[in-house]
Parts: sequence; structure tokens; C-alpha cells
Amino acid sequence: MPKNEKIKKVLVIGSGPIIIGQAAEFDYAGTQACVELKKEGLEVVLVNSNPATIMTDKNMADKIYIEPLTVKTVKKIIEKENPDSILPNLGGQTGLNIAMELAESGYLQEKGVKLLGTSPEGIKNAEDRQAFKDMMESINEPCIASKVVTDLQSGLEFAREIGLPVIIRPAYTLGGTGGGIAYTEAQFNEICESGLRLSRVHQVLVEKCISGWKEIEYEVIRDSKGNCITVCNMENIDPVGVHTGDSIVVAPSQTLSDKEYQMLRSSAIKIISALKIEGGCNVQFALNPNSFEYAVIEVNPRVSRSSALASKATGYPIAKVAAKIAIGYTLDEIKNAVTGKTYACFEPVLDYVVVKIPKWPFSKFLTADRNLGTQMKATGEVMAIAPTLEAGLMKAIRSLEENIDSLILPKLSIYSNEEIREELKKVNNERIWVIAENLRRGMTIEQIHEITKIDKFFISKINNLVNIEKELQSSKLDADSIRKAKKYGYTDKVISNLTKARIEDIRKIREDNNIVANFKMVDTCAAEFEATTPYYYSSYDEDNEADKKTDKQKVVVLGSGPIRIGQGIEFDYCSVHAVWALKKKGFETIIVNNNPETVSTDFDIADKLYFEPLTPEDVENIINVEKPYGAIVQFGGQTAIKLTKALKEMGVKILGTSEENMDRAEDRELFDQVLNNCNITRPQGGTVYTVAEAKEVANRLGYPVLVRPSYVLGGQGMAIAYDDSDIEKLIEEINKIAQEHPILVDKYIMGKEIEVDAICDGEDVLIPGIMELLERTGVHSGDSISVYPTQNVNKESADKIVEYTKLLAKELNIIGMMNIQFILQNNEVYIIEVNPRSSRTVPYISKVTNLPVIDIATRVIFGEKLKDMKYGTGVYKRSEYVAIKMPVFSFEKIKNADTSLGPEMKSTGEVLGVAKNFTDAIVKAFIASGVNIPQEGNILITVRDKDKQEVLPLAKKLYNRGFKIYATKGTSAFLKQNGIETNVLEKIWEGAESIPNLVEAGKINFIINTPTKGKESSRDGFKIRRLAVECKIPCFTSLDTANALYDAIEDTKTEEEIEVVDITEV
Amino acid sequence: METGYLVLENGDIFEGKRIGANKDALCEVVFNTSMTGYLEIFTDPSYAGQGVTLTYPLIGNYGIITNDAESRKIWIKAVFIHELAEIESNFRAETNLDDYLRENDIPRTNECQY
Repeated sequence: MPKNEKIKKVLVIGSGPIIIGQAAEFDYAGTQACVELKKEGLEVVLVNSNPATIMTDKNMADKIYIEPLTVKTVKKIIEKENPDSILPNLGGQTGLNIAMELAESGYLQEKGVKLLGTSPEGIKNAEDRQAFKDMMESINEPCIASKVVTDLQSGLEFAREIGLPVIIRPAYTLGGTGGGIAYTEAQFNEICESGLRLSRVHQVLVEKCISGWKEIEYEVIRDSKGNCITVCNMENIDPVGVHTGDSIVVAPSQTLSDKEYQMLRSSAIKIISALKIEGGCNVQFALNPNSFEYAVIEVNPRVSRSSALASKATGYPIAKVAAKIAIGYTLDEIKNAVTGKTYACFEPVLDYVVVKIPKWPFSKFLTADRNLGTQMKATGEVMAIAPTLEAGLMKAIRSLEENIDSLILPKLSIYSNEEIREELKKVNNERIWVIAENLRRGMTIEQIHEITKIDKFFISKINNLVNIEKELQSSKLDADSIRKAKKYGYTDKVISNLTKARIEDIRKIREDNNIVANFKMVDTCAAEFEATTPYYYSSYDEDNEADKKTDKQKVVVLGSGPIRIGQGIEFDYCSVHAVWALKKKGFETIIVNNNPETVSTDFDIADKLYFEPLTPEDVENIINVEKPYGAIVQFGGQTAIKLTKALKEMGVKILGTSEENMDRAEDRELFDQVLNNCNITRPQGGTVYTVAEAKEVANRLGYPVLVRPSYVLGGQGMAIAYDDSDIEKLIEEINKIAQEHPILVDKYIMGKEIEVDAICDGEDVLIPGIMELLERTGVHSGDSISVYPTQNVNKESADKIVEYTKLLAKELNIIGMMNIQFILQNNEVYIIEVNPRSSRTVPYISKVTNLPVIDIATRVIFGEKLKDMKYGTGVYKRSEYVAIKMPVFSFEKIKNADTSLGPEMKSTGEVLGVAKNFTDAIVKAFIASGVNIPQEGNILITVRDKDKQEVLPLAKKLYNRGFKIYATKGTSAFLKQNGIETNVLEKIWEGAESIPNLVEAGKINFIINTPTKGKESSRDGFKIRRLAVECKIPCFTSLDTANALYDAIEDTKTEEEIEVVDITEV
Repeated sequence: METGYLVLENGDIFEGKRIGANKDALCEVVFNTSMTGYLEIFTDPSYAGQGVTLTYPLIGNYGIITNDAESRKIWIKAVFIHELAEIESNFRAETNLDDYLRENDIPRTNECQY
């Protein structure tokens, strides 16, 4: 069936901020969809609250709304734009839920808007637990013994009936929020209760626990005619019990015989056909390892994290094909872009192995529970492609950037044999290293399989790697042993560590014996047809398939690796824009990245895509083959910056700001020199290595001081110290990882934080805008509410900021992007830091100012001058709109993580509120970030002593507006003295008026809690903050954020009353 | 392990490690891109007299399950694979691929690089 000509104007709903369970994969899917729809000549209207995405770019859609993803707002947009259809299945669970609410309420029918792709009934049958079970029963597909319950008691009765352990899965939540496995009735009560609370429809599924079964996924795609193929199947190394997003996954499946493979494939096709899905769909199975018994775990009637992975693993663009199916095309009409010859109805085949490993945020949350279960905890993932599973695993491990580049985890060496055996029982993020350590100490594959239930095949692969380690350690280093180690994924550095041979000697042997990386192509068809899309991975097999012939000069753009706290999708935005700008300038572009979720790893973006780890050796292999003109590192976040030195040593030209100048910005002592040269002040400080030195510096400066390691991102390990004991704790923590660079100790200056991004061409500077952070210094800029244009900065200070920016850009000879953070205190301007690279705020500032920031920066890098462009120099003209970037956290996913804000970044994503004035913008930003703005109700205030005076005006305002104030004893006494009536909570944890009772009964609208020092999880404050997270009640740990919310309350306008803004018209 | 060679008519020579039956085979070389079902391919009569290259690199993972054979015997004359699994892992596996090929007198080149 060709394109449906009735479709003219389509609304695409995005997935909102990056949170755990919903990351960059939906920007990839949404971007592909928008591009396809536009190519087909349709008018595209886009709504997404996430400004860091590529899909919200001006050239991606005709009308773009960076607005809260709520039913109310989407209705407003529909009324304004009158689209004839909605594409709901590419915006993750968020987009799908909104579309379903609009469809179920009859609104879409009333407005004559058609839901493209799968019908609402189909979606409901897949998403609603009971409907899904009934449907599976009707087509004879086995589900796991389970029951949908809406209250605890009937859940418990059913659990007793089928026997513990059981799994609890809340309906309509993403990433399995609130679910878990219960082994005891007490655990059951706890998990079931929280699951019911978190479910949009107050439903949970209680099911028989089948942990230990194999978990297998199929990605299936179907069109309106009923044509149906499986794009890819995947096998989780971790058996059922660990969320698939937290599992190590391989593609294709490795341990299924053809009978089992086909049995599940047939089942997947039967299911997608019964659900009448039109588009992509993901089916998860549990397979009994000892029989043909299987069960369908769940179906996602939309593109998903797994479909992004499958697309990158096979080269088959699922989202793109799904978008075409949605507008009427069938699989036999859609061309396969990789071969240019075959059609989308050909099932891809792989002639390599793909390994995915999740990226977890545990190094950020030291108190967090690292156990893995049905609640996803990973913020991102890495993927590796290789001809052997071992090499895939090794590549993926080093792509994680956790300072680990093999299966050796040094900290495990101190465990006794007994302890390490005990560790094997834990299902956490370190499991593969623990398995390796046990194999090293003589445990057998069989024994490990008994404990972990991981298939022996996978354990044997880990065993192979352990054996290679042993061989390297014991035998003579020669060409054969190196060849073998390379084939199985060892870097020269690891070989050197194991053999004690020098890296140079290893390289010499490799060169003499021609042991070099050759690149192979991902072509969807195992080389059956010639492929035209250059998408490569490295191998140590013969024959290099990377095409070297080109008339153009080549430029390498280094990507930013997995999504993690502190380095998110913003940097992918920058990398992709840099590629586009380079293409316009006539270069051949080469991108290197390892994140399967992103737009940058779509083979349509750069001229060549290398799916490889971002380590010096892996990048050098590419450089050796491609011999590029130069490389750009300033757009790929800290991951790319870290490679600067290595690239220079390889003789690669660093395009833009030089390596020396980057170092001058990052190195503490060199930077002090820079500031001296510019006559700019910064908070006083010193560099230290030990606790004693740190104490000396801190006492000389006077407490409080800010402590941080150098060369980090997202303020990792950064904290404010108030006394000597804080210093001891902090320095010890930082020194757990060997530091190549000194630790910085600075005087803490309390003031307003200002952030500036700037483009410099060596002569002039263009500042897209000056941003003001609402939270004072001490809260990481990534966790602060950022306002553009500034609202509370006087001209004198603003001028000084611009002047300093110019001075620094000149002094550091910045060519391209830079980002500076300032402190403003009593009209004094101090510098916090300079990042000689693009930053987190670039996408948002580009969108609200209408300046193509990365495009300009890239042109500047190649010698164009700002004064020759039409954008001018100095500060770009101030926007008429106010844009407020608000952080979004994923605390509910990470059990026991402390939620209080501080110098270390904790947010996973961001939303934007855009409006004509500040208060409307802040209302939108709060709504988009999921905070309800109450006009009446109850507020709990519990603050530390030194904040009591400061909280008073806010408490007064809230009290005067009619809010009822609850407070803990100390806070209450203080407020009473100052004329504010409060309800005193005599005891925090006991009695009818205890905090848990009030919060759980939904009686508290929000909490203001400032943390006392220390991160101990036994403290009341910590427990109150966790309680708020579990009950989805906003808890503000910075008074500045609470004041911002008050501004929103005072606005009194409802969501419906505030105008939606098409940012293409800003 | 002995070195084995795949010598094509046009003069291309591929080197690998030779295991399985210790004999030479003269045959037409074809390929199959399936990611599962190696036994089914070996026992498929349409491959009679041919040498099969399996493009999927990891072979033998689930061992040999004789029930899954397409016919009563192996029809291929030789097989070229990238890597043989060290252990077979499937609840129905009766033996491993290596032993099976040797018993059935089929030469095989392992670690073929393509």
C-alpha cells in the first residue's frame, strides 16, 4: 500500500527528559521519524519538553513546542495546530501514555485526529496487564501464572496460592518503576504497596517468579497488510530476574538451537499479528533452560531501548521503517538504506556478535543499593561489535569509562576465597568481574552456573578470557600470544600490565608481524549483497573493509560515550551538529562512538561511523586506517577531551583550541597563571594530595571549603567541607581511585552562579547568552535551575562577565567553544571554572536564541571569522522570551540514593519552560519536570539551624497565602516565635501525625528540607527525603528552589491559561 | 593443530586451523548466512557434495541434537567456520560439533578469516 494521502499534518510526541528507563533512544527514534515524515512532504508538529534533544531542532519539524508533556498541554497544541494525525509509538512510554489518554477519553475522535500506527485497542491489549493476559490466552501463548490486583490483600492471597517468590510489576510505569521480587511476605507487602502507589492506574501484576530462566527478546516489525519480520533477537546473559535494561545482552541469541529460535520467533510473530501492531514491537520471553517451556513476559507496542539497540546491532533502522509504516507504506515497498538493493521485508542477519553492557550511576550514589532486580537502575549503555563474544565483552567493558579495561577488578583481589564465593550470590553491577575472579581462583564453570544460573556457554567465554590472562602472565610474550590476545579483545595496555612487557615492545611485535586491527562492515546481510553505508567495527581478522578512497579531507568527531549523570544527550547533540556543519564545509566526516541509543551512531549521520570504544588504542586503530586531516574533541564532552593528549601523540591535528591551551584551562596551577595574566580573581585555594595537606589549606583559607578532584565531569567527588572531619572523609573517598592529578581545595564563596557559553575565533567572541542559576553556589550547575536571559544581574556585573569572557577567550586562545562559570557576590565577579569545550547548556541556548551555536563554532574552527558572519560579536541580542531549564532526577529508581543537592551533579535530564515572562516560564518548567504547583494545602518544613532565618520570609509568604505549615520541633519553635502558626510534629516517626503517615496519606504537598552535613543514611533528614521520593512528593533541599516554586505559586495561572510557544517563531 | 587451506579456483587461498577429519575435499564452496541451524544445513540434501561457509562466526554453541537433522546423513563435503564453541550448552545436546564431524568423516577448517 503506498502512502496514505489523507495524512498531511502529523503531531509527533517526544519522550521528555532523560530519566532512568527512558534515555536518548527516543531522541534517536523521534529524530528518524521526523526526518522520514518531512521527506514524505508532511507537515510535522513536534512536542517534547527536553531541550537537549536533536528532534527539537529547528530543521527537524515545522512547528516545535518545547512544552510540558501533559494531556492538557498536548490538547492545547492540538487545538492550535489542528493536526490530522498523531504518531504516538516513537516517544517512549510518555508519548504513548499521553496519546492513549487522549484516545480513550474520546478527545481525538471529537477533534478528528487519527492515531497512526497501532490502534488504541492494540496498544491497550499490549499494555494493560489483564487485557494482555486475556489476549495471550485467546491465542494460546503461555504467560506466567499471574494476577492483576488493585489492593494488597488480594495480592497477598494470590501470592500464597502460587507460592513465593513472586515478581511484582506495576502497570503503566516505565523501566519497571516500583517493581521487585518478593521472597517473604514482609517483602511482598512492602513492594506491592509501593507498586500500587506508583502505577498510573493503581494496578500491579503479581506473578510466579521464574528467575533462572533464559531471557530472550525479539524485535518484530509489522505493516498494515500484515507483513511481519523479526529484525533481531537478543539473549540476556543475566537470566530472568534482572531488568533487561540492567542486563548484559548479546545479539543474536547464542544458546538457542534453531528449534528454540524458531519457536520463539513464531510466537513473537503470532503475538504482534494478534495485537495488530503497525510498526515496531518488542516481545520478551522467558525460556526454561531444561525444556521447550516458555512464557511471554511482556510486549512493548512501540519502539524502545531494545529496538534502538537492535537497530544499531543490525543496521536495520526500526524507527524509520516504523514511521513509514505509520503513514501507509508496507515492508515490501520500503528500501533497505544499507544495501540500497534489498527491501525492509528482508530479515537482517549478523556475521558478528554484539554485546551491550549497561552504564550504572553507582559511582555517583555511594549510599545507593547496587543490587539489580526488576527495577532498572542504569542511566545508559554501551554496545560493542566484534567477531568473538570475548572481544565484544572486552570492548564493551572499556567503553564504560569506569577505569576498568579487562575482567580484572582490582578491589576483588583482597577478598578471601570464601568471601569471593559469597559475592557470587549477589546480583549486582560487578557480577561478571566476580565470576572472573572465582574462575581465576579455581571454581569450575559448572559450580558458577549452579549459583548464578547464567548459561554455561557465557561462563565458558569468561573462562576463556581468564585463561588468556593466565597464559599472558606465565608464558613468553611472542607474536602468537599477542595475536590470540588481540583476537579476544585485549588492549596493548592490558597485555602490558599482565606480561610486564613495555607497551612499545608489544607494539613493535605487532608491527613486525602485521597484527593490526582491520575494520569490518555492518551490512544487515552478512555480505550477501554489497553494502553502501559505511558502518564499521574493528577485528583482528584479515582483510580491511573500510573504504579508504575519497577526494575529500577527513575529519574525525569523537562522541561522548554512554549517557551518564553529568554527561548526557547534550553532547550527542553537539557531536551531531558538528558533523552536519563539517559536511556543509565539504569534509568527509567520521564519527567514533559506542552508545547505541544516540542519534550520532545512526549510520545516516556521518559519512562513516565507527562503533568502537573511546580509548586511545581503539581510536588510534581508526586513525591508522583513515589518516584524517584532524580531529575535533571539543564537542564530545569530557570523554573526547580526555583523548586529546593521546591524539596529539598519534600525530593527529587537534582542530580548534590546542591541547596546550585546554590543559591551561583544566590544570589548576596553569589556570591560576592564566587568571593572573588577565587580572581576574577566583576563590582562593590550593592543590593537595593528602589529608594533612588538605587540612592545612582548608584551615589557612577558613571553612567552609570546596573539595574536588581535577579533570572530572559533573562534579564527581566534589563536596563542601565544613570542618576537619569532613576533609578527612572526602579526601579518603577521592583517593580510593588513584589520582593522576592533585585534588583542589578552594574557599567556598556563597553567591549567585552565572554561566556563559561563548564562541571564539581567536579575535572576537560571540556570547549567545548569559544564564543565571537560581540555586546559589554549592549546588552543581547541572542540578540548578538555569534562567535565560538573566533576571537579577545588573548591567555593571553583566559587562564585567562579558569582559572576563573576552579576556579569557583571548588568553587561552580558544578556537571554538568555551563555557565559563562565574560567581557573583556583592557585585564582585569571581571565576569558578573554564571548560574549553561545548557544554550542557549549548542545545538549550541554541534553541532559545535561534543561533546555530555548534555550526558557528565548527566554522570558526576552520578559520572563518565571526565578524564575517551575520551574527555579530559580543553578547547576542537578548531574546524576548524567558527560557528556564530545570533539572529532572531519577531518585525513585535508585534506592537509598541521597536526594539532597550539592556540588556533585545528580540529575539525569532536563526540561525547558519557555514563555514571555519569568513566572509563566517557571510554571511551565515545574509542570514539565513533574512538580505539581499547589494553590492550597500543607507544607512540611524542617531545616537546619543556620537556614532557619533564611526560610522565614518564604514560610511567611506561604502561611499568608493560606498554606498550612507542618514543622519539626526546632523549626516549628523558631517559626512560632516569628508569628507563624505551625503544626508541630513532636515525633518524626511515630504516632498519627508522624511524617510517614502524613506523607503517605497524601496530606503534604511539598517538603522543604535542608540537609545537615554528612551523608549517613540513618539520619532523619535522609529518611524524610527518601520518603518524599518514594511517595512522589517534591522535596526541596535548596531554599532557592523552594523560592522559585513560590514564584510559580504566585503566578496563579493554570497550565491551560499559559500560552504554548512554537520555538521556530521565537 | 595443523594448518589447513581453502584454495579456490581463482587462486585465492585462505588459511585456517584444520581439525575434524584429516583428509582433503574437492568441492564447490557455497555459503549460508543463518545464525542458527548448522546441523540442519549439514544434513540438508540440497548441499550434497558442497563445502559450506557459515557466515555466523560462533558455531557449535548448542552442540549436536540429532533429532533436528534434516535427513538421515550429512551431505556436505566440508565446512568452513570462524570459531568453534569450547563447550556445547543446550539441554538436548548429545555431543559436540567437533566430535560429530570427525565421526562422520567431514573435514573442517576452523578460524577461517573472512
